[in-house]
Amino acid sequence: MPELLATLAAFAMCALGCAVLALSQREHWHATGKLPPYPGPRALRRLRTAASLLLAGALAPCVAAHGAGFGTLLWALLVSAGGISVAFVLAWRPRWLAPLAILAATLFA
Amino acid sequence: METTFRKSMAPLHTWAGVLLGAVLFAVLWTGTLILFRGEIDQWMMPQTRLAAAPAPLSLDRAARLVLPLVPAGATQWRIDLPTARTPVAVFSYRLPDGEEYTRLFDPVRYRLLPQPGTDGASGFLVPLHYSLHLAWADTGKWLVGLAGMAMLVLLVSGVVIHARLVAQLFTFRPRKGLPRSALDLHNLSGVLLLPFHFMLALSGLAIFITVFFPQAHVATYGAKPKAKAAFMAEAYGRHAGRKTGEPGTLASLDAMRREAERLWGGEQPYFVRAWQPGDAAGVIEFRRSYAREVTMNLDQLYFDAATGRVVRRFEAGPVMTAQRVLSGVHFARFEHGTLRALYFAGGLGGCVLVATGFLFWLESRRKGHARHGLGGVRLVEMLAVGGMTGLVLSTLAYLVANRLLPADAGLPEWDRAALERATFYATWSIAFLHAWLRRTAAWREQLLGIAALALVAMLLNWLTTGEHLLQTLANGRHAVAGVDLALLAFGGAAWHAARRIGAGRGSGTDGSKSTGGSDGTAGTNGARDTSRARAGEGTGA
Repeated sequence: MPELLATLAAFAMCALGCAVLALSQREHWHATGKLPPYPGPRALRRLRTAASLLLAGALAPCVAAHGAGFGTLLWALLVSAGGISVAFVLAWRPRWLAPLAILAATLFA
Repeated sequence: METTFRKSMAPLHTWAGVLLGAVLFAVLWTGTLILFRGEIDQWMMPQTRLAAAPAPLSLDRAARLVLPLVPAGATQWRIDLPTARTPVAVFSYRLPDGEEYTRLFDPVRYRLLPQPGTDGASGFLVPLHYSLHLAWADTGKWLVGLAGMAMLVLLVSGVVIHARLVAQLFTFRPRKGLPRSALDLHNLSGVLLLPFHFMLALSGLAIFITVFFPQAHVATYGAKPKAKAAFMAEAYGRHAGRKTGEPGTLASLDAMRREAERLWGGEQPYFVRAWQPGDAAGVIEFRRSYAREVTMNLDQLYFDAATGRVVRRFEAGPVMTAQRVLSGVHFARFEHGTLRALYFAGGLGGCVLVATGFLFWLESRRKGHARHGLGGVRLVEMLAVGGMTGLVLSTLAYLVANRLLPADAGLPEWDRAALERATFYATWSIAFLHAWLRRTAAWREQLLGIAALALVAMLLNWLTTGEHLLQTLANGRHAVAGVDLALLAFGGAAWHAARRIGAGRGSGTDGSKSTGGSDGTAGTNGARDTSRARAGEGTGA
């Protein structure tokens, strides 16, 4: 059970990290709806830093719950899984990312 | 400079993909399936669908059951212990000519099981994955190695060619026309799964160091006749002993096992093997299980057969350990459900990568080739259809044959397993022929075939064993239920794709009658839906 929770937490971090990374691109930001304006260069840098921290940070629950060997493998695969999930959400349900865009705009503006 | 380098990579990527794409797909598809070889084995060998053992197997009791089967002069025998995922125990022995004989037995009731009459997944799909069953001069292994190298080259050159790598990292536009949506999906799976596929291709190459780099040991061990054996013994550990000709006795195997577990700090063995059985120089080898770590350890313990005393303890050196970490990453022999599921999804993603690569190649050249009277599209389309849908079709035919052939089926010189293999190869050959004759229409027809055969296989499992999906799900027989569910999922995805192709084509167009040129639009629609459905397979798993 703790292993499963750690896996889910790591996947959530990876998906969130990839989503923020995708939102930092103009095309994807506008695809979510026309709510907040596309962030400026400084906010973008902060967004991308936050995304990288999320992606790198996902390694921690993986290694903590699954050990160094399994944890690293799991992390590498979860980053890919997060990225592909985000790409599919952007392809078919881009509006699901609107709340995240609003949150990002308020946090990093 | 950068543009020139980028441009120079394009033909490399295209040619490597077109020439080796079908081999790559075969390796990826079988590699994905054999992640669940134990489960497929259980599906194909109903007599091994046993309940998990409540207590560990007694090796002494097992030895009383199986050792009478060993003929005098056998060079070794071996018992593979049951695991949580494979409830059956495997006994095998080897004769001096290298011939190996295998019997399965029930580790709870200590009863020999009837011969399964099939190679299952471990005896057929596994060798197909690494050798394509081309044994002559290791051709198959070299071809697979070439495909592995090609995969590395394709991944790297693909990244170099991809002009808008960062900008399109998460871009997938399924509603755009075919070359575009296929290319999106190709880039998406190629870039996001790059770490996985790079790792798997590289580790696959490292596993066969002794095949692909047969002279590697010469620098250190010299070129004398015994040099290779010395290298193998030092790298992999081996303590076979030498026959004395004097008869020997066998001490308690269970006592040796307890000692092995004590020396390994509680870790379990996964098989026990006797070298020179029945001889005074007989040695018993225990190998430590891979279940709990990524590294495929080479930990071995050798006991004197007569006294049960430890005579040799082996653990891999640092370089071999590195090789065994890579092997572990590749073989995924560990017990980790989440990782296994992610590997499966990643493998299907690799199938999508190859499929969309082919689709993009075909759709972006179809019209031009027709205009200039080139035959390349027809040839590559045959390779693509036969190599991809044809392979899936023949895998299903293999399962169907397994359920349809009676237990005593056989022809002179052909046992039941050989008939199953023949069904596989016959279906695959017909699929290539069909792809050549029917051209673009073959996509839809083979997808329909996949849907039908998947359903038939699932129903035949019910008819021949009495175990249907609801029952196996309710009884917790995850292995059988899982294979049935996968059959349903693959069949459903193929049926959906075939239907979409039909709808896209409209009522007036008949792909079979038109030539490659005028067929352009129909093929475009069809193939786009194929790629979409395949993407669905990849994510659904």
